[in-house]
Amino acid sequence: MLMDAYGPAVLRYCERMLGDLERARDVRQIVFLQAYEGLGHFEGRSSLRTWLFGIARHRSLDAIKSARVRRHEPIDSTAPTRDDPSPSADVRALAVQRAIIECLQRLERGVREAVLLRCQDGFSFPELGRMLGARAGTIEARVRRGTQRLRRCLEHHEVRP
Amino acid sequence: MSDDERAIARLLAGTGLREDDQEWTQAVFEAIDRRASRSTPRWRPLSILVPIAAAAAAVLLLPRAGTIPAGEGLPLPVLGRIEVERLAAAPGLRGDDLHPGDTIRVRARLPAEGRSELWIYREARALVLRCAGAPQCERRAGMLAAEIRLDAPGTHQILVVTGPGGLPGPTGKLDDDVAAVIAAAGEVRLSESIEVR
Repeated sequence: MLMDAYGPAVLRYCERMLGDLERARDVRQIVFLQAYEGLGHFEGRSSLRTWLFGIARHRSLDAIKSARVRRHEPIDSTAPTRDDPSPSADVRALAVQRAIIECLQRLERGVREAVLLRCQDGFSFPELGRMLGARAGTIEARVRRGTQRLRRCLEHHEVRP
Repeated sequence: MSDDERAIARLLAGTGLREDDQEWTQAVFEAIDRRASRSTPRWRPLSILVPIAAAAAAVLLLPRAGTIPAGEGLPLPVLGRIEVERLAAAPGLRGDDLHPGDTIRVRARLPAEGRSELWIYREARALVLRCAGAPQCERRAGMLAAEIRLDAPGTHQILVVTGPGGLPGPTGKLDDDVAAVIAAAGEVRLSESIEVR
């Protein structure tokens, strides 16, 4: 049930952190495998959701680092993935999705994860502070900066949030 | 949320991937099995994982809500398995789907040790039944059975929770309640979600 309840949200977070759906799927499997292995040590100091996203965050960062070591190049955020719609699908929706991925990848990693965890996954600033190891006010400033930059980038791609 | 956050949140929620990989949970269970068979001693300190993983694997084999067989007289469920059967359909509604007004019976075999309760949630946010003395519940011969009329549509989750001594009282939020049971060194067995349409 953990996987039913949180699998889609974890995948979406990983995909937008990594800019690559296939790698996000791999990372999601690792996240839930680790969650099952670690469930006995879960102390209940945070909600299960916060705990799971904490694992997802760490494994996504690992994947970003290993990709950079392996490829020696930035993640290709515009590469086609299996998620691409067929030619008959809505071209505009695809363009918007690509703009989101591209603009997210332009944010620094710490800003990107804060924006996603706040705007996509709805964590509060105190929760984010505990998760990211910073003061809630610092995270709030990071999210504010990130959303403004994201908005400008999207508008440059003619996507109006 | 600020205006910028709300605007970005709307955009992120309105776009995104389509889940086209239906087998990923099975892949996770297979990975758990592989690791367990490679390094059995590693699992010993994590005794809580075994029933959870076993229960989760078992419930994958359960029929979905749409194919729940009607009728009675099922054998005693195996440990860790939660069985659901439809007892009565809402007047005027037929078919395999569960609807508001249907009555279901839930049965679960209980571990020999500890104190166990059965909790049923709707949408992971509302506790619709707590079998800890409720009149709809019957406990005998190591088994807990409950009959419940499904009053509202939504996804229902069924848990059997067992604590070594006592159990924390459920708050009604599935997420928090599972966390509290695990934090109290308890075990949680989960059913496949039941869809009421």
